[in-house]
Amino acid sequence: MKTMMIAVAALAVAGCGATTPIPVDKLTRAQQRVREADAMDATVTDPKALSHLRLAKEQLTYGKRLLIEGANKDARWVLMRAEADAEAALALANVRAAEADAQQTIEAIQQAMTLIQQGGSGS
Amino acid sequence: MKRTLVALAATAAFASACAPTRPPAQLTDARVAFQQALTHPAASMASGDLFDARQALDDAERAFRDGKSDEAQNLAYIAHRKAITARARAEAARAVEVKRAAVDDFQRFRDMQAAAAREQLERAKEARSTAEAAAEAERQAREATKAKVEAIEGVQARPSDKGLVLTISGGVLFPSGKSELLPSAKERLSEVARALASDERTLLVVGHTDTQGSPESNERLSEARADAVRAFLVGEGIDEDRVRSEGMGEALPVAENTTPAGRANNRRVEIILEASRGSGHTDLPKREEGKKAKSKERAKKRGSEKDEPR
Repeated sequence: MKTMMIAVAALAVAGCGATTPIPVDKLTRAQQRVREADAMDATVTDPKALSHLRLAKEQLTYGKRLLIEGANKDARWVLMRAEADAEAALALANVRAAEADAQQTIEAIQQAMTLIQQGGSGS
Repeated sequence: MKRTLVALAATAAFASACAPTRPPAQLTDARVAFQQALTHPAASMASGDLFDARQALDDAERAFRDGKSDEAQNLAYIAHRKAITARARAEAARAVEVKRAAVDDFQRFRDMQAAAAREQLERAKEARSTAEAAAEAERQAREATKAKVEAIEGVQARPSDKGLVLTISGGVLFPSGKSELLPSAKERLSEVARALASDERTLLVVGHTDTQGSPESNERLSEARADAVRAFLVGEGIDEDRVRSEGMGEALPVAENTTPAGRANNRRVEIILEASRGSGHTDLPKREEGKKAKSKERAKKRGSEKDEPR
């Protein structure tokens, strides 16, 4: 990662005056989103989230290569796509997590209410 | 001029032919995904994300219209993902809302339960307080009744498991062998009736005789005397449903029947202020046993006594 950033910084310096500046912000954001999505354990349980995460990772790798090759304009688009895929993966993973959490809470509440009502009627 | 127009038309036709006429698959996918996100029931819960997706889609549409094919495809790809993200965030927000509603419902349920429990406790406290007050009032009323009847001459009051027993000597109430009340007895019973007026306990008037005379005649005489006292009390204002009478004859003596003093004590009327309705009754088996036992005793001693009930 550090090597990549140094390389990108070097390219940024070398690229001064080029048509398309090096999209450092796009790289940073794409990396950040992919890390976040990757850290979500729940993503592995959702095929769609997993698919978007895979695409995000692939595009991040491809975007880095394009940066090294100096194809800044293409790299910018690829990194933006990587970020969009990573965000979709995160959002989809969050849906499953939120739904599972809601379901668990509702079941716990139903059990508690049943116990309370049984306790009330048994006394 | 004509040649110029033809050249312009040709240029326009060429430009028109080069412009994309069919949208790329990414743009079509993005439009569909955005519509799905927009029409999702929970769309309003992700309005910010929908706005971003709308902007991304507009950018893609604009690029497509401008003939920027590569840019349109990239923007459409991003718009498509943003629409998916918007929809997913709406669904997640809805799941959070469902959980919150369930927790709120449960909290309301618990609050209602707690309120019901508090109310029940309050009612129980109130009922207990009322019962205690009533019990205290009743205790005071009984104490007052006891004090009043104890103050009446010729009336003896003693507490028992049946209730408060007022004993009045038969000689004070009736002429010998009769069941008509003596004038002096009426005054005394009037005082008793007044003393009992504010008491709510049921009354059982029980007549007793000594062993003079036959058991049957004694039974009849005791019943007649108890009835007479009951009727008098009712006449003095005691609710007739509150007072009952029965005759025990010679079955339950309180003294030996071998001496005049003992027999005088046995000739009596008891007014029992029942601890609870029916508690003043003597159980029948006991009464029968008492009668049998006394019959034997009487048979031994009857020889020298007169055969007239007193």
